[in-house]
Amino acid sequence: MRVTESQLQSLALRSLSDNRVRLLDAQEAAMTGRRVDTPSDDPTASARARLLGALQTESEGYLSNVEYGELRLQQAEIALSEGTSILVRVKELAMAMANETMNAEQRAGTATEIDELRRSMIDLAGTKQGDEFVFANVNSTSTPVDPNGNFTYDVDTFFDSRQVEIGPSARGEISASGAHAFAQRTANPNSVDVFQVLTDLSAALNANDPAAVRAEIDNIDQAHGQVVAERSKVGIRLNRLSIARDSAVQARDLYVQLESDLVDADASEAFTKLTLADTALQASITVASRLQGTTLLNAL
Amino acid sequence: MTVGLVSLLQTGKSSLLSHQSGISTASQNLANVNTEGFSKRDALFQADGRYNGLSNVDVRRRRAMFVGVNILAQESRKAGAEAKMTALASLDRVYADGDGSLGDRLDKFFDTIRTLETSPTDGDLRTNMVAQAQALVDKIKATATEIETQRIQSDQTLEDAVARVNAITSNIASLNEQISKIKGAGDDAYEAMDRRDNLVRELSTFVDITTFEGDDAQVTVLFNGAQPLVENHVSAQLEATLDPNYGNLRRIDLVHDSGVRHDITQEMEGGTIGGIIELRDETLPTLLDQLDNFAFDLATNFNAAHATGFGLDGVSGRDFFQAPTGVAGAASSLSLVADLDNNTDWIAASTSAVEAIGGNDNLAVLLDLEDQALAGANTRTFREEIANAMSSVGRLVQANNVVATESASELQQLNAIRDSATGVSIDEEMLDLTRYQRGYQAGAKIIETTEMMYDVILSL
Repeated sequence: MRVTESQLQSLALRSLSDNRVRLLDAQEAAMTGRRVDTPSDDPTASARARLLGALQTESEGYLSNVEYGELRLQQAEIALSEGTSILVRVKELAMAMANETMNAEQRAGTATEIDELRRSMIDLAGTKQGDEFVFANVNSTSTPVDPNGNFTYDVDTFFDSRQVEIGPSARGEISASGAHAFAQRTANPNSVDVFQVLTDLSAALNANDPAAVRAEIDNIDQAHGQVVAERSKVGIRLNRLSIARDSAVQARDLYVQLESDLVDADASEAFTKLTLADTALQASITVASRLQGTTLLNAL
Repeated sequence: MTVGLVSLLQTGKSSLLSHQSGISTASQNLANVNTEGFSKRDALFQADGRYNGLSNVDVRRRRAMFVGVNILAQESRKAGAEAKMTALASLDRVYADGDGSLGDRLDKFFDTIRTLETSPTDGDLRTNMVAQAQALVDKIKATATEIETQRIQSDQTLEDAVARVNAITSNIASLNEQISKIKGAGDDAYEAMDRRDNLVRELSTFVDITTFEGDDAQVTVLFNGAQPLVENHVSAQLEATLDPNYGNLRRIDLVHDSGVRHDITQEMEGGTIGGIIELRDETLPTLLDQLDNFAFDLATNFNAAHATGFGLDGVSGRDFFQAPTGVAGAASSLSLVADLDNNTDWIAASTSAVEAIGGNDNLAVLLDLEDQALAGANTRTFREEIANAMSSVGRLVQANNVVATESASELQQLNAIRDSATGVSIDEEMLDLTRYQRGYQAGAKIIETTEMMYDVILSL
């Protein structure tokens, strides 16, 4: 085979430019730490990385919903816990005042305390988180209970608590139900209107009627039971959110890891490639400079 | 046998002249060592019976016929792939994932719906959802615009390409004419042939051509295997005209010398022109169509779910996106319903009028759209459709790069084979030069010896 000058030239040119391209790619991977930058770097990997990115965003979304829900439920739990304490105190007072030995003045004094506790209870029902009322069942922009202790909405219609997405096809409740905790509902014949119970108790005390006071004790127990039941539901909801948080965090971390495996360059591999590409280019340069030097011209 | 002294002088002279011509040929080769497309000349010698001397019968130009055909085909392939490269690289970046990418915008849009579920009455969250929807719309439109821009820009380059093709074909035709005249006068037309070979090679970077050399060293250039671009001294011309049938892009006509013209746009394959037409009429429209379908499916399905819900004002039946008029152009004309940004109450979060304030059940319905196979003719979710588009673009770019690299390396090998046959080797020419120089010295010696013999005779 004849070897001609243009063959040598184009061989040198091609090996130099090929090695330059390889070096550039290796430098890019080493500098950016990414193996897949545009879809053409690896079409399948970039499509899969896209889906994993979407799942990450989704997991982040679940997490933020969970965090919001936890805040809200914790507010509700605090309120319900205080509500429980109030009702315990109310029961103590009622038991004491049911005693025949108490006089009218003492009962009237206690009635004032009961009225005060009732106002506290109404305040608790109006607990807010941000701009929203925690115990409102749908319309969280207006207070569920007015200052007189009347519900502002139909408790037989609106009693579900608000649900949001907290996982893949998983919805979790993020609010407490004022209707369940404080109201008398047709669906539950044993339920009592907590504020009404307190009003009735106060009336019985003011009327100095120990029998009527005694009669309210069952209702107070029922009210206490209602609030405690809603509190334990809140606990269950918080528990559910906590599980959802764990799975969302785990899922997110897994997706981040998987995406990184797909698109990120392995550091040691990237630097090995860089060194190889650099060495190859050096070799091309050395060979090219020699190619140009040796002809018969030098000898003649 | 007796040989006269005069004859000896003639022998010496023939050797001098022949070797001089050999030195001239080797010098020409050496001088053109770096000339693109130069084919090495060989000086052919023959013993001359008349004076027992030497004659330089011919100077031959080396050729590598079969390699030449393949080189033209690979040049076409390579130029076709390279013509598409810029547009494809730009789309590769547009479709690349990252903050603000199409997929990222879609995710964030759905994420704002997810967040709005927690507080459906919150004005900030509603505004945020509209803002993210607008960002998604903007990105879809920008992507459609980019595809369209690449179509128009690549189409514009056709004008220059066609002009260059016409210049080349008329040059080849006139070189054909020159060659026939030079040969008619009995001379060799190697320089003109080298030039013509270079032009044919350049022409193959614009369109896929086949050539053959007929009688009288005339080259015929055929386009698409049958249509003559150059025949003897006549060349056909290409013409690019803006045509509404091609979406106001350029139609390519082949105009024969006789004035007969016909549309060859769809017959263009290979080379810069073929590459651009494929990009403009097939590759980019396919991508745009996919994006249009995506935008159409997103807008119509989202609207359908949104319309069943109720806004904060208790009104139902409202669209969220401006209802697209059809699939074609759905991406570039996508928008939110007018004034939605000032009326975020319109976002239909609830499924009933009584729960209009505070209800969030319809947001769950909207969120469900994210996981339903509503795109790609109901085969993929919206996010899968975007991932699918990304991998299509990636594969297009990759396949095109492979063609470019493969054809370049194929071309490299073919060039090596051709150069090996027709290229100039300095070593070889230096040896020839030395050889001819020695031959020339030997010829001179013959004359010197003959002169000495004359002197001997004359001094008798």
